[in-house]
Amino acid sequence: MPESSSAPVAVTGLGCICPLGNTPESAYSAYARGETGIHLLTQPWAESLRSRLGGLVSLDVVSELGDYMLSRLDRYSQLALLASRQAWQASGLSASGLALDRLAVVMATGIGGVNTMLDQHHRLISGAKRLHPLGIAMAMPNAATAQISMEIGACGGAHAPVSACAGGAEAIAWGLMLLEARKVDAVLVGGAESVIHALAIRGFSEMRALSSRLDDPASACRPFAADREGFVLSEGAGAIVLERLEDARARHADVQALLLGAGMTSDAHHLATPHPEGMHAARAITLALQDAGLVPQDVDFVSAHATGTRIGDLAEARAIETVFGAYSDHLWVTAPKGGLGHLLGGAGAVESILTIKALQAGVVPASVNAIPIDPEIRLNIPTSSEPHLAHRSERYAIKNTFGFGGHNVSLVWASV
Amino acid sequence: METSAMTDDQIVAEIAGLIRKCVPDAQAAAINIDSNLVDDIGIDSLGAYELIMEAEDLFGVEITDSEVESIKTVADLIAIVRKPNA
Repeated sequence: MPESSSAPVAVTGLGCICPLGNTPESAYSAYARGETGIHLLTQPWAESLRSRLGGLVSLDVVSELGDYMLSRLDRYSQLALLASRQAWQASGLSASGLALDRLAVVMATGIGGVNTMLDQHHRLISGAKRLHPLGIAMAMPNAATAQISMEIGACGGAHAPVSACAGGAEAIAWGLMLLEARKVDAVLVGGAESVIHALAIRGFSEMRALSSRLDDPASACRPFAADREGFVLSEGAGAIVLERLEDARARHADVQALLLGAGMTSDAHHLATPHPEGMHAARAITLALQDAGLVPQDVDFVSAHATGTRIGDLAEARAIETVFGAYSDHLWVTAPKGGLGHLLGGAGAVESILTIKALQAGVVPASVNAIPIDPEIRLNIPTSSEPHLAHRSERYAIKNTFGFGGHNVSLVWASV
Repeated sequence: METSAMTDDQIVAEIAGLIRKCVPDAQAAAINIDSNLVDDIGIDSLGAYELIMEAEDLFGVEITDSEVESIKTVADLIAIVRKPNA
């Protein structure tokens, strides 16, 4: 165990619903095999879109949630709630005697209940006499965290950090801080998003942020590749239950991994483009390592944010080179979005879960679609799964996330 | 949905489907034509307005706010969705 400034935090429950699978195990299994969750969108509303691609969740939410819950939750909240149920059940905390005023929820989203907002707007302009009386409450970015607090009875606070694509990781960092400060004894953290809609796709498309490689959807999102042209929107949710390690051990919980540190910085630079040298992104990684009591040479791999945009991937590569220097040659850097797509506010949570499962398996999963690697990106990128961690007893990974607005969040995960 | 050719039982079945969206499943368990929306089914004020919105959409009727105030039972709602100007 490294020397850290604070008590280590244990992962005791995972929940995941994403285009690669509807449990942490199935999603990781597809991820490790290099499968894709990205497909051509064939719905009529998508016909005229230049970037007609998306990663949809395949799940019968009607039978999972029932009419009542379905009618008062935006799809992002539905996915968040279902992922949270998995994590909560896996944690075993409901039977632990935990005081509910010592239990918090931190569930992020990038955009929130935009499906509800659009439905209600459609009713409005269509001349409907009545709008849904819960329309505003369903559209709120804190709707998911509120619903989850009701589900598990958490009275120790329900929070919803909003920091675009860094939100899922920021929620995890908040959970860590709440536990370190002993404000609560357990926290369910995560992120969720569901904005696969013409408005969001057109909006990102106008920024030239999306791939439009329609002839081969599986290869459309190409993080770190020389011929990358943008990301692909996906939907889904990730949820993680965190407790201080001492508490988890005391109740004989199944500790799946450790969260050792977090670093959060802001670029103070631009609403949508990252700092070109990734200066503050680098500082987020450094702060996370310091928080964890690790040095760069301890890290086995980085799960990159890398969305497949020209500017973003390059800025992250420079940030990683800044922090790791010559050790960059020995450090694996893998990007999950090539097969997963970009879950925006859900990305940091779902990709953390994939990182945790990779640490458990002792594998660095391949960075899908990274060939041919951009010659400007001088990182050690695995193009097939690398089992080199298997012989190491202690394994450490960094999860990077960056959000529009210049939000940089890095997390340090460790195997147990 | 055209109600003129429907029996009361058929409309009750449709309304029961709407009620299940507006109140938790356990409370919606037993719905019949005489069910009182508040006392028997436990609908709250926001749930009631959700039910009215759903009923207007499904049956293609407009229900005035004063009519909303008068609806106490499933039978009251059926009478309003059957009204001639619907």
